[in-house]
Amino acid sequence: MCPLRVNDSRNQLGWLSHAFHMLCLSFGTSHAQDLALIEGVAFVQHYCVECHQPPKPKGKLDLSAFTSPEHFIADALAWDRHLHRVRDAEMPPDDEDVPLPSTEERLAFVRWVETTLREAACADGVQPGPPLVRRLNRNEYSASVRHLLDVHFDAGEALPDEGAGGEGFDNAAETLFISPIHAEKYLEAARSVVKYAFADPRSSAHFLIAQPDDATSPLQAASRVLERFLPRAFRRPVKSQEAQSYMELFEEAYASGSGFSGAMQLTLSAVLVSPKFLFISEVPVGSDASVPLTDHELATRLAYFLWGAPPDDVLMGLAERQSLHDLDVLRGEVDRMLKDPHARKVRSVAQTFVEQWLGTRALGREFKPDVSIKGYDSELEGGMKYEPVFFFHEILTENRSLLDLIDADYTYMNRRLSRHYKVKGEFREQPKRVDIADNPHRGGLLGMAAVLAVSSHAHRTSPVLRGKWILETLLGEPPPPPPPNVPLLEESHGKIQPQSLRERLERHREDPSCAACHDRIDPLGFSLEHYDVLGRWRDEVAGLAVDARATLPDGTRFEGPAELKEVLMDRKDQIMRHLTRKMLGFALSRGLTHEDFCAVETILDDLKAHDYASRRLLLGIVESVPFRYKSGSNKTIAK
Amino acid sequence: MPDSRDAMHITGTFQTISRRAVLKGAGAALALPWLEAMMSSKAKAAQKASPRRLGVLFMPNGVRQDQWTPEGEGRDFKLSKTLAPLEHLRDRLVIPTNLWNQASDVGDGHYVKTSGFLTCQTISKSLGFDLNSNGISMDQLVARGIGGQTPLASLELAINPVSIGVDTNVGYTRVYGSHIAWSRPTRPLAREINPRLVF
Repeated sequence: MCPLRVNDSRNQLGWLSHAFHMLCLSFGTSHAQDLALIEGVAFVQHYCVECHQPPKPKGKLDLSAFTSPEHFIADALAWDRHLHRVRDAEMPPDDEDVPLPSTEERLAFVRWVETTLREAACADGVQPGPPLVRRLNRNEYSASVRHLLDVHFDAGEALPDEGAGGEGFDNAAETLFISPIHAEKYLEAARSVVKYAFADPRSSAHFLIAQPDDATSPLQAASRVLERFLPRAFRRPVKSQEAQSYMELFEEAYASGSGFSGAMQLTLSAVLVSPKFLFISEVPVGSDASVPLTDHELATRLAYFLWGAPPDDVLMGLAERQSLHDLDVLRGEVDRMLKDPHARKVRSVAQTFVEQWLGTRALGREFKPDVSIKGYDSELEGGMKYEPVFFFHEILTENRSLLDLIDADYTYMNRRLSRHYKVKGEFREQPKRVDIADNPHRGGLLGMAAVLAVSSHAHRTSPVLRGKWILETLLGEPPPPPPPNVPLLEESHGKIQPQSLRERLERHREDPSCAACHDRIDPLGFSLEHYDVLGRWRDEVAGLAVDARATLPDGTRFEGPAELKEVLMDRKDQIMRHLTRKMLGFALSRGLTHEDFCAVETILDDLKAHDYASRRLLLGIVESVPFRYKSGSNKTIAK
Repeated sequence: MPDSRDAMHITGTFQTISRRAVLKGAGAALALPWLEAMMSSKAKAAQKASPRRLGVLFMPNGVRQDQWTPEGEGRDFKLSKTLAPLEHLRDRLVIPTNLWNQASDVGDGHYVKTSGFLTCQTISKSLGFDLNSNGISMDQLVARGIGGQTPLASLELAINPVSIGVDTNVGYTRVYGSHIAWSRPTRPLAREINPRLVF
């Protein structure tokens, strides 16, 4: 808590400092850049330094020395935390005697600091992140086991599920923990899947490439099997000492009477519980400089990015010949990996990415419609869930424009979904591509039932949730949290004069402290009010006509989803920048740092120059410094 | 990190009877406590009576306080409506009131209060990079003390999968809202949600 203004002289100094800055402004500085610089510093001086200065700075944070952008840059890590508190209106605290910035001032300050930090980070060229060390997540584990043993069951089914971190994906290194339960589960899974694979002749032919016979001793056979199995499991060449430990295990098991098969099963199970299999780990760099990844490390990153699975023999071959650092070869591989025999793997990545980016993974889990919402069943849920997945898969594999995400003349429906959307045609249970050029209600992500559902309450639509979804997911401008003590929205039942949702949310506009954020959020959601909780088109809600008109704080007026999409198209660079950020975070399997944002800008420029073709995004990411290099220093930089 | 030499220790595990294999074979009729044959010899030797156990139940939406708190104090309490089914155990019950988790009274409700439930510390706001509960949960402290008396030191169970994504609205990863057991300030313990797999 900040003390009352006891010391008048200190008070005057604060105001003098602010006055000085105002004087600078009035004398007119040479360009916009300087004005911006002064603004951020003035904010700190005016709103923060009162409490955060000697002799007893509050929270032991002394900001009195922050008189230039360089001070912010030098303390970048701490400023990331301070920024959140300013943005979320935690700081300055809401005390009577402390001057409070308006929401506009807060957001402007946050933007200023972020821009300052990012520009500084890029000044010396792009820095990559540290060498990657992380556990495979559940899906990656299953895919990796499938690749090694050619089995058709989900080895990771019994593993605990994972939370998300970084940019919001469950492959983020920072949130892939390992618990004692994992040790049990990995052991159990390894035993079952190896046993199963040995029993299946088709699978075992894949990896059991040698058996003891007249010409081959059991030891020789085991050695040959391991010679092939180990590098594929560890995704890199294997040293003879490493292979030797597994041979010793085999020998001990064989000697104790297990027989060749039993001893081989034990040995291969041991490989599957090795951290060298379970973790992606890149070799640390000895010096301070950044260095390229090894070819095998690059192949691994590439494969888990585009396939969610380990590198195949072609990639491993290129890595062995050290060809992957040739950009032409790398580009050729990206093209190959997106083509047909690998469709299933690419679709599973499309699903993983899209479900987490859009939040549609919540369908059927965190989101279930209320019983009052008719027509929901598992076939509809499947149709809803897979529409954005198949759609995004086509965008990636057919090199469509990423702007299709905002508005497109095609989508994917199964039979149930087509009825849900009242679209005529021949459909089956499996989703198929549909031309919707003449359909005014569908097209792009915002016409998709899954998106419209996860941005609703279980029992009714919410313009606030939908507006928030657009801001957060598409525009990358998440609104700050609501203040505490916001009262419940009154429900309409039992009122003589039914009120529309818009009327009930009137407080958002009447109260200026609410309006500051809600003027940005609500209009976006109101323009989608024609869609019910499950994304069905409606012209009436509870007897009142739908009012889908909207006005943004800058005066832009629009009505309904078609015009909303035009408004979003005007902001397409912002949307593409945010998508680039998300995809880069997914590819790097970590949260982005200030340094990474330079790469985002480079990728975006290239994307714009190529009409937002999806292939340019993937290539831009794969060719970027953060994707192909690792840094030498131990210090990890946070965002 | 352990290397492949640790694979040698696996030999031992594979040669003892797999608990799960037997329990699966016995079918769903089996329930806790573990069959004695399944325990390690150390635990068997130490066991005279059933080991004391600690169970913690997290009820995210809380309870109706007016129907939870018993009337009266000391031994002569009258059980509330919610607790009435425990009447036959009243001689073994102690129901404390006035417990207060001060450190979870800051920050955004869901994440701070869930993760801080058993640590009584305030979590660090993070999307994952500097995830930190700033404390060890009390169940894990107990497990360190008495965990050796049972085949598993502790079991973490849950009903729902971990919530997806990160909450950019308030700046927390949803990992926080899904974990109450922390063996270290930077290590939440993964939960099993499939009761069949617990056995």
